[in-house]
Amino acid sequence: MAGKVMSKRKMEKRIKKIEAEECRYNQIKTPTNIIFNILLTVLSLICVIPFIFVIIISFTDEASLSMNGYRFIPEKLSFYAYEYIISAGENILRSYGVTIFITIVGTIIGLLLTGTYAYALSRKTYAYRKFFTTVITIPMLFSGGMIANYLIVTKVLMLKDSLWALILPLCLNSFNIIVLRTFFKTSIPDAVVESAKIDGASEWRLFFQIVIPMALPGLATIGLFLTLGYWNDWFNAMMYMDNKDLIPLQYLLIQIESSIDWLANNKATMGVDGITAAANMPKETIKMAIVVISTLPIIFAYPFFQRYFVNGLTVGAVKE
Amino acid sequence: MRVNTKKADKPKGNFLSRLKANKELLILSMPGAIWFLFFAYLPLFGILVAFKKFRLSGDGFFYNLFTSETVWFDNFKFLFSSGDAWIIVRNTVLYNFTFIILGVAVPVVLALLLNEIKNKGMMKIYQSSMFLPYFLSWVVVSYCVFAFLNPEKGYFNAVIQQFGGEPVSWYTETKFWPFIIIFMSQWKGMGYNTVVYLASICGIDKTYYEAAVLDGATKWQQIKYITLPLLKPVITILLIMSVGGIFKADFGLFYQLPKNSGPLYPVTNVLDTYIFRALKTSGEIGMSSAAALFQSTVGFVLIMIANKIVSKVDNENALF
Amino acid sequence: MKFNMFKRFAAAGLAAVMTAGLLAGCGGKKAETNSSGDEVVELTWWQIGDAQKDQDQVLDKVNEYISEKIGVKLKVNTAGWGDYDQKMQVVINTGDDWDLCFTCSWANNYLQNANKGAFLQIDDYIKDTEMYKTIDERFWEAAKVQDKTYGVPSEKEIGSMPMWVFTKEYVDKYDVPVDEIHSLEDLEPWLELIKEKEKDVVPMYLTSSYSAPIYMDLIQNPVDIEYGDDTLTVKNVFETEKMKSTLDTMRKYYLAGYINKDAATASDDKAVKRFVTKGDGQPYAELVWGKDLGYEVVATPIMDTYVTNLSARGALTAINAQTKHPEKAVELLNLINTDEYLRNLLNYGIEGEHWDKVEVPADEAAEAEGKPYVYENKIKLNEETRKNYSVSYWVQGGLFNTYVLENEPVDKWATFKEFNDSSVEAPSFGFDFDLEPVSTEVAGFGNVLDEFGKSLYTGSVDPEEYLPKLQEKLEATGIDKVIEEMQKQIDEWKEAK
Repeated sequence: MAGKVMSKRKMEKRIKKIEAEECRYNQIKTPTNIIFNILLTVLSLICVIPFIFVIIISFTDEASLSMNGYRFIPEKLSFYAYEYIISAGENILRSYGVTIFITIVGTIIGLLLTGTYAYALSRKTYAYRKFFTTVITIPMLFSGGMIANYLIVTKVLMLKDSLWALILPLCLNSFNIIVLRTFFKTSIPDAVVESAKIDGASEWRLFFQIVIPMALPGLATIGLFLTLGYWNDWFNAMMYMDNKDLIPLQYLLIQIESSIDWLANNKATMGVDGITAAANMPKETIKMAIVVISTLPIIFAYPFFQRYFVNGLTVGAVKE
Repeated sequence: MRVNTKKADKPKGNFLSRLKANKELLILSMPGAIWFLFFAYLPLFGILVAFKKFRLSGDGFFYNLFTSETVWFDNFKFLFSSGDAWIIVRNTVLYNFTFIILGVAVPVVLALLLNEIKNKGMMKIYQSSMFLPYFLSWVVVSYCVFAFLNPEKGYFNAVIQQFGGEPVSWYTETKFWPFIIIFMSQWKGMGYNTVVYLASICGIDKTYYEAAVLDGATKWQQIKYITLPLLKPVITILLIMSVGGIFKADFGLFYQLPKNSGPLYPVTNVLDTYIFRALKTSGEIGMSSAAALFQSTVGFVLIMIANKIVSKVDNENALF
Repeated sequence: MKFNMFKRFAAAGLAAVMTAGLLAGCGGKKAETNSSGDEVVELTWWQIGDAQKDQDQVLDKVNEYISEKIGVKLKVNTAGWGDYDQKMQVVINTGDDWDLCFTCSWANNYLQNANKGAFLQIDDYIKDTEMYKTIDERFWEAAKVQDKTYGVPSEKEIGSMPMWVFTKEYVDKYDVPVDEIHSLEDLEPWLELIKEKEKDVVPMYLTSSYSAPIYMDLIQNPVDIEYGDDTLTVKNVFETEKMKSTLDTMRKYYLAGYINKDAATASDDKAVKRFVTKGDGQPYAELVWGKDLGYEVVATPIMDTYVTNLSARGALTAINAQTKHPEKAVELLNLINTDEYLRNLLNYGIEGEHWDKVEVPADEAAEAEGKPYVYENKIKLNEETRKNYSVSYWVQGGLFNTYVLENEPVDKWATFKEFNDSSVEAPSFGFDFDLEPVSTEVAGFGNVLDEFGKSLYTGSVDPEEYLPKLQEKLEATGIDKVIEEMQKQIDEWKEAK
């Protein structure tokens, strides 16, 4: 086994060689490249422009917004939406902290659980493979519903008002396991596993020392999904967190947004009371400001995962 | 079933030795299995609510669950009671069918494009840009779309009038909406969905390409004979899983985006919006559980069928 | 095999849950006592609205007072406007620990929860309380479900008053005789005038939450009973002549360009200059609307104000059927609704911190002499700290024992009282429809009404074409069965009355 794993220097050399070869034979022709680039640029613009639009609107004065409609160059700038969020939120910095904490801890725990489970499923020699696959298939579709979940989390696991109630429910799901299992199956040749087994490596070692390094793109994918899941989660906070000090960012913001929406939609039933309750709330600009506040930090986390999806930067380490 | 045949094949004494042989992998799958026990299986008792007229007569959920009258399938009736049941099912299935096909085609094509372009820096930029719409909630997207489609001051009508056309009443004309809905759903999901395929491509053993290049294969041939076949396991598994969601619809896409406009219901009313509107006044938890159970059961049956078909054709890539 | 496995899992799961539940129930708390040696119990109260920054501070003050007075400590949990329904569904159905909660006809539905058995029947507890005597008996009447009371009403305006709301600028400019305008048809000449004279003003501005004036008690929309119909005949609202002609008129206005084109999907856009719109009013509503819009408005009622179950159940506080301290909970509600200090503390926050007392001008005081609910002082909110504690008046208790604000008339609540007294009881007031026998049919209504309601009400579609379509769908959903059932129930109710 040891002889088959290449030393780092040798590997780098090899990558250089592959890249050089790719340069010679393996690239698309320049006209095709240009067409592809144009296509992708157009697609990217379709995606970026609305986002810029959102940022601009979040800085637009609410009154001038409703006067002129959405415009790329606002007539009047205003920071009111941001001021409102900052003053309405109990403590936006603390919420950021809570969110960052649960995202990091949750992603790590989630990756470990997903990885170990998926790895076991990916092993052809595992006798209970089908059983454990069935175990995760059923919950992919059937769930006990909000009330049953609430009872288990609060009465059995006693996690009410605990940060664990925000972390644990999201750390594992059938979809991630099955995707990762497929990654393991396709990117790790059986020969590698078998030869390691013959060399007497335990499954534990096999998983941490060989499988993880080889399946980095797959793990990064699941890591990204988990991170996004934690970052965007507000539902668990609504269900399990009555402690105002431990409210994650998304729930803090969603509460502001849903209050505004609800009061606007229930004008007819609430009459004057609704108007009084909704007084001074900026409506549209605040939604946009919420998007900006809640997504900008996570967008910066994206490149961390992205490097694993860019071909040429990772190379299957073990070969021959 | 399967376990039974195995038992018949082998003497019973083998159980322990089999356990021992699989000990390490069993330990690896245990943390995940325990998670599923608590967060997915224990709450399944909640499904019983679907068959109950849930009433509160004493202390504790279980007491109430068991003392509530069992009404069997009465809670499911409302799903079929309206004259529109057929239209709603048709909409849900047709949209989802389109989404399943496009959900594979669009991201795979994008992943290939991104992977082939020469400049890796640009690739990162394209990829990140296409991820942005994922962060916008449907409410926010609906505001942006409204800026274009607003019948009075929207951009589209302004352009149409510029060229002497009749302004279109976008939120009452059904004919545009299937396209708008499909386009927007792809727009929002493509960045996220591409990640899995990009990572899969990254995980492909480079030696395949080296060999192909040495044999003088063109880029197109490499894609056709190496990349796509190696993506097949991921594509298959994601297809099987998405089939399970054929009776579920993204609520925001069908409710927020068309601004809940009545005249558009013939093309926007899907199961999830129907259920929401039906139950918003009565709040009967038995009925909402029944609806979810109905959707899940159909999905489960379809997944089983899809898996059966796949395992007949290509056992390796089936779910289990 | 798989099924067996599942069964075993489920059984094990149930057992685990039940034991855990039992264990949780046994946990004893250390008893706390107040200075007179009585035990102090903590009550958990769920309220609607956004969490307030200074809530803990205010509650400390509240607890200091009520633990001495009645031996109760209060813990307040809030869920935001948009989340309250869902949150309470979970809290109530799972049998969570709570003692009091906010409930009404439009959030955390009072009738459904009372029927379901979630709330404690409080008749025996309230009989001799002070609040039972001071709160208008019609509120108590409305709080009754099948002759049993499940909640303490917050005394506020008892009926909702649909009004036409005019922008004062144009009323003055064209000398519109607002007081003479009531029905939809009365508006026509003025809409025409505005359309002609004011090019950039929308004569009649409507949004998606608009519903045409309906002269009925909306018991289970669209199956309702007409105001003033003492025979109590159950009707489909869309089959009444009044509704048909209203929809025709709306269509006429829409085609004439009096109504904004995006009415069926629009949400209120304050920048749109409008001549008239519809609002659901109460005394002094003009001030609220005017403040909201940033210019003065004048309003005129469309019809008499009727008292219905829906309107009189605008805000109540209910007690958990499983609470361990029913007497204390009632005692607390009684104190809140009768104690001036506590009521104002809960409503406005701490005196000196969130607000200060101010004098009532002598002439105003003289004028209000002898009227009910007039207090010796008004209050001035602290501009700095008011946003750290602002709750809706009616969430915690009645309006009438709160002080009025500096810029409000001192006899504000007396006017409310007059308004309540002058409101007419709908013939169906007090009747509750038990929808259980027809719950499947009723579930279908929501979709049909959503699909056609807004576009028909705003005149966006032709009633000639769409009204038959609507009827057809309602019939397919089983509206006849609902009408029949309701007629049966209401006949029985009349009989018993």
